[in-house]
Amino acid sequence: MGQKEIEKKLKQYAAVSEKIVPENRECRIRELLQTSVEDSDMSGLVRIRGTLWNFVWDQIGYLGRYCLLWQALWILVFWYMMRYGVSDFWGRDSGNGILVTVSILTPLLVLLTVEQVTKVYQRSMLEIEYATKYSLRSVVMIRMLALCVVHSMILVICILCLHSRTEAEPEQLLVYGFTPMIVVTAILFGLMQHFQGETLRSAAVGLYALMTGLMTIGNTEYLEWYQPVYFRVWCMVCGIGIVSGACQLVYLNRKLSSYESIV
Amino acid sequence: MLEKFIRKYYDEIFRYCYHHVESRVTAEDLCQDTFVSFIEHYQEYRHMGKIKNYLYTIAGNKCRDYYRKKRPLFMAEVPEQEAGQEMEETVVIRQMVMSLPEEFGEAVILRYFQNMRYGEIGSILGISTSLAKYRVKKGLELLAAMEGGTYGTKRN
Repeated sequence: MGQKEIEKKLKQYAAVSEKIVPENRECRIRELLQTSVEDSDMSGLVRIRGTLWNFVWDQIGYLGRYCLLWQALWILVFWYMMRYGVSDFWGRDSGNGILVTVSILTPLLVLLTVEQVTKVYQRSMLEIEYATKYSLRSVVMIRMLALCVVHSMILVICILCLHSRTEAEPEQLLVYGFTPMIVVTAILFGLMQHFQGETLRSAAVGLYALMTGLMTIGNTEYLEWYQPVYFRVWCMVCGIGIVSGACQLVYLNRKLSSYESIV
Repeated sequence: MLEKFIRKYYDEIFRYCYHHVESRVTAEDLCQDTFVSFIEHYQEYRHMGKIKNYLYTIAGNKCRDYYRKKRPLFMAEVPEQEAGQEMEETVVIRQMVMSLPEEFGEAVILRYFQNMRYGEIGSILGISTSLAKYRVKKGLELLAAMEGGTYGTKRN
């Protein structure tokens, strides 16, 4: 007998067994209800099973302490550099020095927390994630969204606090701060499609070193990227970064779908 | 809500237990035990999947416990209305499934008798979806071999 025939018989048996019901069904259910907890306690089930909001909240929780630690450290370094370190470090016009420092520090915020997002789709985690209610894509996307919102808030708050201490305009600080961060994020989305784990971390560190080098060179008297004349170029780069980041995010989403189909 | 929940899944869980044991009365007891355990422990439940799968996991454990304590005589109980040649064949297939090694038998029961998807089977058995697919396939192969008389190992 072939497997098809076996399957057919199994289905036949399943159809027959549908008719089998417990004899004392009502009596036993009543017995269960009498010995059970109050009806209202059962509402906990709905909560535990997890609504979308619970899921989002849990994902933020997973990012948790590790990210908070790095973010707190980043804020400390940022504050120190702005308060004391800029003029000593650059040894020249502290106005530009602040802008360069903002440009260099913001991508670092992304770099420090990228691992918390990428560890989700490493091979060892796939099976665990697969057994949950939400797809791998949803988990990664929610975590990235949570980090993007938190990073943007941190940056805006830091810049607003910094504004009163510097001569730079807030829009200047925002553009010089967000542009490198957006560009690094867009490139990281691209890298995440090809690399995982240690390789991705190394690539991200390399990318950050490159970005820091560029920003430092850009502040030299030969290039002077931080002069007001180049401000529109910065805005354009920021816009291009947002568009390419969105495109890379779509590609990354497709790539994560293919991981799911592998499993 | 509790009543609704119990009524919704009671028959399903009863049948699941029934596929593991030969006696309807034993299946009813195991089903009852499953719901009692569920009611006692659901507040500790932290599984993000379906509650139904959690219920199946408890029921599976109850059936395994039952086998550990006592292995009943192999006498399939046939409902009164289920007589005739066709029913005889289906009872034979049930006995064949029960004689499969536990991991394959369990997968086949969930797939064909309980009509579950591979993802759900994986979730209940605590294995990956691909492994669940493999176990079902292997179970079918063993059943085919058993039918052809080339399979001799019985489940202990």
